[in-house]
Amino acid sequence: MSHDRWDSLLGRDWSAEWERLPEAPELVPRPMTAQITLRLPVALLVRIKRVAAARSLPYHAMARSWIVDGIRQSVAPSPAAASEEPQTEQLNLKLDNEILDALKARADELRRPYHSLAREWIEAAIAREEEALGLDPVEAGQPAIKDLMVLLLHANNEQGQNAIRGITRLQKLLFVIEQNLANQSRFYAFNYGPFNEEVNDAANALRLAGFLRGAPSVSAEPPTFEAMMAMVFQRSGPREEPATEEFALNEEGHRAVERLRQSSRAYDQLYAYIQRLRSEWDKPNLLRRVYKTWPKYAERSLIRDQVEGRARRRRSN
Amino acid sequence: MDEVVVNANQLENSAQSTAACLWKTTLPFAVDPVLWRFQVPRWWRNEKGETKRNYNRLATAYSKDTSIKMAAGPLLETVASDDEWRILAGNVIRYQRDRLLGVPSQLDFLDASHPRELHPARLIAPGLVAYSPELDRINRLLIEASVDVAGEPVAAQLIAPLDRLRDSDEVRALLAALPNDGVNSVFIWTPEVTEDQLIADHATFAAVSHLVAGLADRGIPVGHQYGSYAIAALHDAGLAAVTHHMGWVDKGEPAEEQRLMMRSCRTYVPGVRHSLHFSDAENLGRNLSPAKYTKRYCECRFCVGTLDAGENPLDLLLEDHVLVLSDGRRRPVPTARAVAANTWHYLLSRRLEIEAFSNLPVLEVIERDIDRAAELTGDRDTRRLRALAAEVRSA
Repeated sequence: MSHDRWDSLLGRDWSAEWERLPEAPELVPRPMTAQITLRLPVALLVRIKRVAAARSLPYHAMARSWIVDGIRQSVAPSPAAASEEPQTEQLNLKLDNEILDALKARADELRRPYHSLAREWIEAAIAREEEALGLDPVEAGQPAIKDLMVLLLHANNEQGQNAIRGITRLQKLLFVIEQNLANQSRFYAFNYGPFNEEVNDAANALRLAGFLRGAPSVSAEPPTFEAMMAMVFQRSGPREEPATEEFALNEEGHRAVERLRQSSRAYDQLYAYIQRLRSEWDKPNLLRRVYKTWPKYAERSLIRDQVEGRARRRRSN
Repeated sequence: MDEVVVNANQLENSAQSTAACLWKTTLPFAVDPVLWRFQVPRWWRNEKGETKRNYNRLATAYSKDTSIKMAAGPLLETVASDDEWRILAGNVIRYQRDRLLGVPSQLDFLDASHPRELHPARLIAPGLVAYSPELDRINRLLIEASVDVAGEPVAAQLIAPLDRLRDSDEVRALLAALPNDGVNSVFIWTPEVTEDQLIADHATFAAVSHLVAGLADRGIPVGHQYGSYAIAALHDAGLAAVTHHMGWVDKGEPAEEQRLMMRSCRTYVPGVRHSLHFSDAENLGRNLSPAKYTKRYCECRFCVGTLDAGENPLDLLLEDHVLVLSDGRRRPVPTARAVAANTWHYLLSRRLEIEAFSNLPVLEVIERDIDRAAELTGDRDTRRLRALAAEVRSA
C-alpha cells in the first residue's frame, strides 16, 4: 500500500462505518461437554505429536481443529484403505456438543461411521502438515541419541548381557553406532576419546523416566523420607571408591523398547542392526579399536597411553 | 514449590533430563533466558577463554536471522541497532516457547505416561545488568519487543548493580525505566551481593526493599531471582515470590559462570539461618537430644526422619573424607552422599522458611528465629538476625 493511500485511509472519518457492522454474537463460553475417542495406530499418534511439536501447538487442540476444518470442507476425503497396523492407541478429544452433532450429521450424509470420518480427516491433515513442514512421515532425520541408547541396552553383547558398565563404554558404543549410521557425527574429540554430552543427558533422562535399573522414583508428590534416603545411599560414602555406573534397562524400559520396535519397520530394522553392531564391538578391546579406527577422535584423549599399554599386556598374555 | 525456573544455559546442557523431570513432576516451569550472561566475556567463557558449547548453542538460537556475532564479544558491542535488539528479544521469546517442544524422541511419543507438552507457564523478557541509563533504555526496548512477539504479558527482569542501588536517585530511575504495559511480574536481582553484605549495608537493603515496595505499589507481582532468608523477609514489603538455586554456600551470586570446584565442608544450619563449616556445625548440634535438635538446630523432614529412625542426622550431613590432590596436598571434602543429604536438608529447610514468612508477620518469624539462635549459640549468631529485624523495621 502506498503512503498516500495509507494516509488517506488514516485521515478518513470511519465513525459511520460502525453502524453497518453486523451485530457481534454474544461472547459466551461454550463448554466442551462431549468427547470422542478415536482408536489409532501407534505410528499415527506419533506423527500427530511430532507435527504438534513442530507447530508449537497442543496436539489435542490441533487434532480437534482438523475435525472442525473437515466439517467445514465441502469435499469429503475418500475412504482410506484399511490400515494393517493395529489400532492400539487412543486419542480422546473433548468437543462441544454442536461440533459433535455436526460431525455425526456429516458422517450420516456421507454414509460413513463418524469415528472413521474423523480419523480420515486427521490422517489427511497430518499428511498435508508433514509435507508443509518437510517432515518424513516414517522417520524424522537422524534417530535421537536416547532412542539409540535404549535400543542398544535392549540388545545383547556376545556373552548375552544387556547391561553396559561405565559411561565411557556407553559413549563409545553409541559413537560406533552413529558412525555406522550417519555421515554427520554429533560426537567430538574429548578427554577419553569421542564424546557427546547428549549421551550423559539421555542416560539421566532415561533414569528419571524410570526406564533404568535402580532409577529413583520421581513424581509430582514430594519424596518420602525413605525415597530421599535411598537417593542419598546411592552415592558413595567415606573410604568407598565411586562405583562404576552400570546402565541397564529395567522391565519397564524393555517394554518401552518393544513398543518402539513395533512403532515402525524402520525402528525394528534399526534394532536388528544395533544388535549386530553390539555383538561385533562390545568387547574388552572396544576403546583401543575405536581409537584405531577413528584416530582423530582420540587426539585429545588423556588415557591413550594407558589404552595402548593395556592392549600390549593383553597381547603378551 | 510452585514453579521451576530453568536457566537457559543449563537447559542447553541437559534438555532431555530437564524435560524428563518436568514430565514426571508436572510442575509448571519457566525458562530464564540469561541474556545478561553475554554482556561480559568472563560471564560466559570458561577458564581457557573458550565459549562453552552450551553458550554457543544459545548464542546461535538467540542471534538467528541477525548479523549479531553473539559470544564473539560483549553483547553491547555486537548489537548494532534497536531493530537488532528487537529481533533478539523475539528470538529469546521463541526459544523459551519452543526449546523443550523439540526434545521428545520417538520413545517419548510412545510413552503413555508422557503427560503434557512442555509449554512454559510464563515467558520472561530478556534483561541486561542495568549499569547505566542507556541499559535501562535497552531493557525497556527488550521488554516491549518481547510483549509484541509473545502476544501476551511477560515477566521482566530488573538486574540492579550494587553501585546504582546505593544511590536513591538511581533506584528511582531504575523503577521509572520499567514499563507497566505488558508486564505481568518482575524478577529483581543484584549480582555479587552476599546475604551478610545485604544485612550489613543499610543503603543496599533499603534500596532492594524500596524496589520491591515500588513495584508492588504499581500492582506488579514482584519476585526475587536469587532469594535468601533475608530476601524472603521482604515478604511484608510486597515480595510475592522467591526463587533460589540448589546450593547452600552463599557466594553472593557472582554473574560469571561458576567453575567446577571441589565442594567445601559447609552445611546449612537452620538454627542460625546461614551455612557453617562442618566443625562448627558439629560443635553446635552433635550433643543435642532429638527434642532439642528439632527445636534448636533443624526441624526439616530429612532431619526429623533420621532422628525418628534412631540416627543422628549429622552423621550423614557432616560426613567427609580426605582427598589427596595432584600436588600431594590433602584436603577434606564432603562425601558424595553427604552432598546429597545436605541438598535435601537445605531445600527442605528453605521451604520451611518461605512457608513461615508467607504465613506469619515477618518480624514475628525473625523474633522467633532470634530466640532459637540464642538457644543454640548464645549471643554469637543473634547479632545478624537482630540487624535484619532492624532493617525490616526501618524499611
